[in-house]
Amino acid sequence: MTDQRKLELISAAIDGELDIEERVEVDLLLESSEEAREFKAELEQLVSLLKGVPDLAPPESLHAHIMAHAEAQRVKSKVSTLDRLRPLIPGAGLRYAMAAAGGALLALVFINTQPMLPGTSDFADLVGTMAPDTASADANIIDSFAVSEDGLESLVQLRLSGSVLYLDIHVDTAERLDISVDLGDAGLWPGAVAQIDGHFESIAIVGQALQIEALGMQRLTILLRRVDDAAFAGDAKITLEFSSEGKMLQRGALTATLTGVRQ
Amino acid sequence: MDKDQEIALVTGCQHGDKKALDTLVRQMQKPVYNAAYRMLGNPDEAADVTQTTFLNVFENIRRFDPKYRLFSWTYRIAMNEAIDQLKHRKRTEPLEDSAISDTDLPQETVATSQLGAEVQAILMELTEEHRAIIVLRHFGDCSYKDIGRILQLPEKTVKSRLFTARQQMKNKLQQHGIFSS
Repeated sequence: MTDQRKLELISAAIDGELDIEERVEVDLLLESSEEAREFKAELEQLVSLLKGVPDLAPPESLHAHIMAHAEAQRVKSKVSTLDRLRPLIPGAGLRYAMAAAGGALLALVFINTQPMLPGTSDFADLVGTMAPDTASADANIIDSFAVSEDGLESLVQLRLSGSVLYLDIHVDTAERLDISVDLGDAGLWPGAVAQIDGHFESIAIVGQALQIEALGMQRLTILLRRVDDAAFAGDAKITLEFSSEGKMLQRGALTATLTGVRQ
Repeated sequence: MDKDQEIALVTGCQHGDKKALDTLVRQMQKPVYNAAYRMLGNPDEAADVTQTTFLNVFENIRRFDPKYRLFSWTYRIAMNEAIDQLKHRKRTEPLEDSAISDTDLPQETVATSQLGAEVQAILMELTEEHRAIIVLRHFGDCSYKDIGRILQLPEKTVKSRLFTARQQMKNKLQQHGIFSS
């Protein structure tokens, strides 16, 4: 049977895509032609074979990646319309200060760099706080949340590369804002704080929490190291609170699943 | 998802409701990822295409015309992204390198379905247009009308092209000894 039209009709009949007249035509054809019946049986076998191919599961992190990128896209789009960009701090190189007082550690790094995410060289000069991490720029986003209120836009992302977590805080605030970052009890500590854009009013690390004061548009990356890699395995929760003049505005949490990596 | 649920979901997404966006991704990421994987034969590229598809959906959701089905519109974006990726691949690597290998396949496929791997290898031997129509009909479960909307073809062409694609698929499966006549 070489009639292309008739073969196409049989093919469409398998999919239930015929009108009444065509169906009658195919029925008659199948009754009268052994060849037509064989052709239909072959197509049905093909359809059945393709049905047996299992669906694939998308990567587990895909959903989180999509949502994080969507938030970044949304915030970027909003921020770009605000026209409140501050000029970058002039001059090349790094400026950092570290101080310890009464159990409190203050770590500030001022960086003049274009990309939002820090590269290897950005942290290479830090003394005693962390080793350069070649994968930092490629760290995977594992959790994120965004804050959008009148006069306040913020995107917070948690990225992981090896055993180092990177907490990126991008904030654009019209009023002076207090951000409290509670690192929880999973043994995380801030290895360094890198100021990427703008100038935070103050950053203090008290116990397991960071206290940050912000005004205007600012970007900050906090490198979180683990006190003892093997000591904690499970979900590490990092909680951020945004408040202004003592009034809590927003609260968000990020989770990283940690495994013991030290032999 | 019925039409009312779909309209509610689209409306939520159009108003920037994060829960609606989240639901949309959760409901559609698997079919979109599968369609992209069947078109590309590479899990990493399929994940990239899936991500780009949803970012495009979010960006353009305000322009979505509710007389169409959301999944058709999303599939259309995904198929276009996958075809763009194939074009990019052609520009950047020799043709023989685009052939599928077992190492490109997700572990699930290698471990549980030799059939899936063989069918995928044969899909990659088809032309893009024949592969697209097989993917939408047999892996996306789309009607001829939906396929026509997604690929912007008249239904008559869908019918004819699907017939040809199936014949080619059947012949290749026979050549590989997977399909008996």
